[in-house]
Amino acid sequence: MPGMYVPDETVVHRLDPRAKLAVALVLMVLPFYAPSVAGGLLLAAFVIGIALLAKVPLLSLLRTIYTIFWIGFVMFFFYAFTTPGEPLVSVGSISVTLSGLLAGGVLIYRLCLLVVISSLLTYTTSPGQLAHGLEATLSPLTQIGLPVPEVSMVMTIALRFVPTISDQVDRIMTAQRARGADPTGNPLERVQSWVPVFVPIFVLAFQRAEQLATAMEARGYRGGSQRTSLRQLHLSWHDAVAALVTAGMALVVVGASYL
Amino acid sequence: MHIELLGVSHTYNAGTPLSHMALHGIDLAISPGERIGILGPTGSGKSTLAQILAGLLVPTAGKVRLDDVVLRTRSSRTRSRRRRIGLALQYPEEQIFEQTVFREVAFGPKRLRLPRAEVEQRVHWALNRVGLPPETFAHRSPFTLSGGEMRRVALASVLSLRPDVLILDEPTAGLDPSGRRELLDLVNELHSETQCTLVIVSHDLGQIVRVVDRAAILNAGQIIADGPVRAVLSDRQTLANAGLSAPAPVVLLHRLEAAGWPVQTDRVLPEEAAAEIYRAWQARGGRP
Amino acid sequence: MQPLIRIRALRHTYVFDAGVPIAALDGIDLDLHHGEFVGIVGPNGSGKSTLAQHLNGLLMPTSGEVWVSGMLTAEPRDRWRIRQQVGMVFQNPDSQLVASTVEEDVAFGLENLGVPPAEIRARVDAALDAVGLAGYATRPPYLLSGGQKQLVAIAGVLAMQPACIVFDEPTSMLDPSGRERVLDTIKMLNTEHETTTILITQSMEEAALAGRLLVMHRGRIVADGPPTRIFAEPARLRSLGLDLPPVVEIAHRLVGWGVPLPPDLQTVDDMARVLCTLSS
Repeated sequence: MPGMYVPDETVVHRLDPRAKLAVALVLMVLPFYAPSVAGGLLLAAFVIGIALLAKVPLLSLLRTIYTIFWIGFVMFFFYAFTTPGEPLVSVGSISVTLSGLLAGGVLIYRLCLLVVISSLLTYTTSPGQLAHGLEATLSPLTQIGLPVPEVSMVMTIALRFVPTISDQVDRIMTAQRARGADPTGNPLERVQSWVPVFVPIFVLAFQRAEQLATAMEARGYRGGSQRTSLRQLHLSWHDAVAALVTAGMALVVVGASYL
Repeated sequence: MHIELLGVSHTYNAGTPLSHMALHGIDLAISPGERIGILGPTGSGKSTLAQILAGLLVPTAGKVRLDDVVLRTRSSRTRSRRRRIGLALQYPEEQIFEQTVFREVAFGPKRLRLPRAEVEQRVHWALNRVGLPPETFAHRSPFTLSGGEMRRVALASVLSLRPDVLILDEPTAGLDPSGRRELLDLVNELHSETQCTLVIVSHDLGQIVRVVDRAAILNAGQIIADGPVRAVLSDRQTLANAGLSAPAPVVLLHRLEAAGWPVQTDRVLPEEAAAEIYRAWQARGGRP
Repeated sequence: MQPLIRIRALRHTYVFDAGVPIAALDGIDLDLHHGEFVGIVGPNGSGKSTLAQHLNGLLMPTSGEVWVSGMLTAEPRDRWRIRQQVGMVFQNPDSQLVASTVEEDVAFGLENLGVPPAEIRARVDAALDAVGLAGYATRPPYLLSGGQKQLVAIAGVLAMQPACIVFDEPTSMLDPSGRERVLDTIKMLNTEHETTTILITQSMEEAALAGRLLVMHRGRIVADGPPTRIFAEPARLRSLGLDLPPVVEIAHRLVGWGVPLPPDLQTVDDMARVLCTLSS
């Protein structure tokens, strides 16, 4: 699956997840503050640089933006035709404007960049580390009563079961097809054909939840507050460098927009 | 129905890095009314083979023939023949979704667009066949039944299709000893009554001889043995090649044979092995 | 020495919406000793799993008492120490694993206990080594076979260093090779690590591995003794819906026909050896 975690020992992989989350956040927000072409290109180059450092195959990266690109493409036309400005080409009363083309282009750029950055994050950070990083960052919120460790546990468990439940869906679909359930036909029939899959999956999920809760209790789980962790997060000078480089780059990009 | 697999191979995710060849060059012919067991370790391709036999999966290479018709995805002749094959996957009770037992068992026949009276008749027949009298069970929610009862409901929902060929994937998985015995008896009675073809995929080697006459061993996608079930179960070397162990009675008989005892090693069930050992013991001069 | 687990007059009653109380456990008195290997067999509904879940305080008695290492399971403040003392492995391999990698899952119990990180690392590695999964630390669960998942679950319990491990039908969802690996591990834990072992099983062949066998029926213990003694009553076992292991059944029939076999034959090796010496 594109964007899924691939274990490796690159510089990027070894950064503290909290640093990566902060960098990702900054980079995702930047396109909205960097309206100039120069700034945009600089940002894109920076992101590609990170991808190269993380040894992410560029083909893999392209696959992640495949879907979003086509969505952006559709909206591109919408912008191209409806944004007011100097007309370039006219078909009757509908015209394509330069500012429209630019607006559409910017949209595609922003969407793709967002997807690439988050894919880079998930590619270089395991689900466990991400959950850990998020939990550590948000843990001060426990003071105001938010169940941060419990929510983190819920996320970890949900992620862990995605492939398992996906296999179950395949199996149930095969079983129902063997009884003649046919996922073709008119739209109403097609929706109805999902019931024999959804109901069993839900039932199984509830059963599994109960079994899992029992097993967790048997191993002493009682909520998050005093739990220790196998992995400790350590901020090191690598993370400081990454933060500084990102900050510096952000300043340059924003600055380039005002020149 | 005559089923024939000719040079069947199946590769999942062909052309991607995840490509995996589950079956290689399978040749298998099953005659109407035959009872055959497919044995093999996990990952040998048993489930893939079961789905191909059921016509649910079209193999990436080779031919599947149901009677005189070669299976093709969209043809209506294929579809009508596929309908005569019933497949129950492992832990079939997981597929239950309807609110009453009746509706669950009626699911298949309704899909066949049969008239209501016939659907009802088939449901009643199927429920009786699995030992769940309709008067008591038809209106109950299947989710309130015990595990064993739910499995029988799932089986009934395949039987209500009145298949000519019944394929069961690990039918006794997770059942207790009496549950296992009851299910195998049920399967035997069904076979005597309907003369359907029976294909049982299993790794319960100790009991399979009760329900099949012929067995094929699948290992790493290939059939490495195919013959009368007792002969196959007493061929320890081939079983070992597939990572399976022969049933304990067979191992015992082999040990005695190696020590010079005049025993047949294909007596798979404990009672048969005991009788065989007793006979040989007497022949060697043993006196009660 | 005091028994590890003491059960007195244990009753557990369920009441469903229909209002009719069902006695899942109907008066259990039992002592389980350090280092014992106890098998529990019985038809479905006999109360085996219910009994198991009383041993570590997952269930509370409706009446009666369960003592673990001198602590009462009904006492809330001791419950967590009890669960460290008595670990449990369940039937469904997937429904026990919470983490995205093997080592994180094995660490789960230690994290719950508040063990310092460096020690967690050491104990996780030791546990994985003990069950034979040393190279699998970073593997995700969905790439493991059923048997391997159960071994991860066992490692997770082992890392908590319990005095006793309860196995509730650990092999019933596994294929033969998975079953063999798990059983070998269970045996090893009992003999080499001296862990008190409780094995609940539907397979009489597995039950024969135990040094002491409990037969349950309708919430009561109806037989308690070494497997050979329990197997000496095949008719009774059959009436309870249970079988004999194949070798034991063969031995019984032969004895019935007059072959002078000793009463405690359980393995193929023993049987073959005795038969050969008999008629030479």
